[in-house]
Amino acid sequence: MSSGEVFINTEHLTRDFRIGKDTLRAVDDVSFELGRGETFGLVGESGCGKSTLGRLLVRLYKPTSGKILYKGKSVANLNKRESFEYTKDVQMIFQQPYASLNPRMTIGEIIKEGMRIHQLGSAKEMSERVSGLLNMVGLNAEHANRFPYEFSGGMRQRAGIARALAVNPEFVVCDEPISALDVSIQAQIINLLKRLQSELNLTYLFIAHDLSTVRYISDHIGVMYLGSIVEVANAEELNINPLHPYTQALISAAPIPDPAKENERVRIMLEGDVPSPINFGAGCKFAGRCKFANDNCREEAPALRKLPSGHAIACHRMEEINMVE
Amino acid sequence: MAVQTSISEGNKDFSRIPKDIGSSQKINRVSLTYAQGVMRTLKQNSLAMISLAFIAFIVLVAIVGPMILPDYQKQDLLHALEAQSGAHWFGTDTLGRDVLTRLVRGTRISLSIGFIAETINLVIGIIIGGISGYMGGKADMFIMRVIDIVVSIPQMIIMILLLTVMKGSVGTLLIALCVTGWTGLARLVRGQVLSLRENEYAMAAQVLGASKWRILKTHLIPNCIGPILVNYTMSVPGAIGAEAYLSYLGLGISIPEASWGNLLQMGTDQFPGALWLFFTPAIVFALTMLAFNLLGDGLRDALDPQMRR
Ligand SMILES: Nc1ncnc2c1ncn2[C@@H]1O[C@H](COP(=O)(O)OP(=O)(O)OP(=O)(O)O)[C@@H](O)[C@H]1O
Ligand code: SF4
Ligand SMILES: [Mg+2]
Repeated sequence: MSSGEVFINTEHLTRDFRIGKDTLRAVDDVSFELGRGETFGLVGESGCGKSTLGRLLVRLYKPTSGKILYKGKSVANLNKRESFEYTKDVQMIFQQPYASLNPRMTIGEIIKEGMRIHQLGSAKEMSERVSGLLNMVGLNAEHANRFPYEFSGGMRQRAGIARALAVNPEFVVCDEPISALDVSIQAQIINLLKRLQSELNLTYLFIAHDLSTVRYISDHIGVMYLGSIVEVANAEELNINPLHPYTQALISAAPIPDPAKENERVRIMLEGDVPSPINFGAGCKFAGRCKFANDNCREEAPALRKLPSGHAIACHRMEEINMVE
Repeated sequence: MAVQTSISEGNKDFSRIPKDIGSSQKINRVSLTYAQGVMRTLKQNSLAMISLAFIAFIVLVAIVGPMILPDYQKQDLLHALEAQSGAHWFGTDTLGRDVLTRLVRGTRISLSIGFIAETINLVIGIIIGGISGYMGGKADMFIMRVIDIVVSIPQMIIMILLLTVMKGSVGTLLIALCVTGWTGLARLVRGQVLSLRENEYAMAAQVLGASKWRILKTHLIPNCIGPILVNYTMSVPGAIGAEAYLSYLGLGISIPEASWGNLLQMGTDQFPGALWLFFTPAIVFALTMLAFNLLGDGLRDALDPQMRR
């Protein structure tokens, strides 16, 4: 659980990609914060910039503008040694179990790499630690000599988790760690991540493309739409009382396990096309699909406003809409 | 109805086996490394294996042959231009030199040039292509432009120009073959590195704080060894062919030193009077070229994951 202390936060973080002559804004002016020990769930449709945001946080990408603050200190200003420390403290678990392990290395070598880079112990200590890590993620010591192709998707994902944890990180970006797995295995991996978090006091940014995955494990949830965060709230609050029209549509689209309630569920259909992240105009990015959109929405982009409850929404008409509902 | 009964009766015969997670995750197959997997597939390809055996054989001959055979420059004008006999298995040439001895010596020279030139190209190509692909940006732009310029001039013209300026020898031939020869491999490695570095395992290494050099060395290059090996196997006969061509034109290795090129040249000079002078080197040359290409094809197939198991 969060201790309330801000652990990592971003300020106006923006990242552009050049596509020929055009500029694609994958992450657009994102400011959010994570408390130590919490899980922040990040949801949004495919292509909305979740991975890009995650990769900015682990410094795989450099921000175009804006900054990342780690324990209050701007990541861009870290010196060489602090930068190296950052690669120990901040880790990532990847989306594709088949592409995230080097096919030419054994599982043991893969897990050891981080320990080698950061010189965590002698050869013998590293081997022992590999056995310990394999057990911790639900594999066993003899798997160290196996090659990735001998593993199933779930086992590979466990190995990827062991690799990330080998360097004792504090913060782990989990980039859709279960979306490529069989449904039957997804719950196992989620439970594993949950258990590891409490054992090792980890902070997670947990990325998923649907709310149902993150709603049970997150403390806070951020909803992303075309590079912007449109709503952030405590997980429970967001599920019971979504305030942004996009979040409302997302929640209405998620199936409810109880059949009686499932039948009563009212779906809000999303109409209109998702605008392109390349050269979008001014105004609210959701305006083309929002039934509440007015002229003001199309002219001026709404900023993320924080309510006294801590719930934050980027919508001009938030008050009116939620009076009507 | 009847079917249902038999099923329910059948059910009595089955008892539940307690499921043990530990053993279900155990893999009872011997782990094959990537290289072992490739070798296993290659072994099933008989043409490639025959080619490999043939190449191994002529390499052995090229190493051991000159040690046990007499001097390849020894002339015996009394026995010039003699056909095959017990004393000279492959006959003699215009100056009465033993053709077999000269062929073995020529094999050593030609193969050495092929292997050494392509090994130099391999090292240069991997380093330059690797740097280009991984560094990206301006370094990449610059290297690619240089390669474009080098490639736009026909290779043969560069080699012929160089060899008309320098005296033909093993050393100068190597220089001529390596001035332009590395470009193909550099492009190949660059392309591979560019696509491999987008792989999540390369990103994972970066997140773990691995240096660019470490990522290149332990993650990217080992994963493009396959295509590199195929390219190498296919390039060696190219270099051997270029040597033969240049020596044939009198720009490369000249008599009294022997090489496949100058042996072939003497063979055509004496054609069709002394057929053995032409056919002996021609057959060895052609078979070697074929063997390298068949082996290269076999390797490519074995390395293609879709072709495996
Ligand atoms: N390296 C890149 N170069 C150019 N464009 C990129 C690059 N990476 C991402 N993009 C673009 O940025 C946008 C956001 O991509 P991103 O991968 O962050 O989305 P995502 O939310 O993670 O999607 P998914 O759920 O499919 O993983 C997409 O339009 C994508 O095409
Ligand atoms: S700002 Fe306007 S268009 Fe955007 S979500 Fe709110 S009501 Fe809809
Ligand atoms: Mg993604």
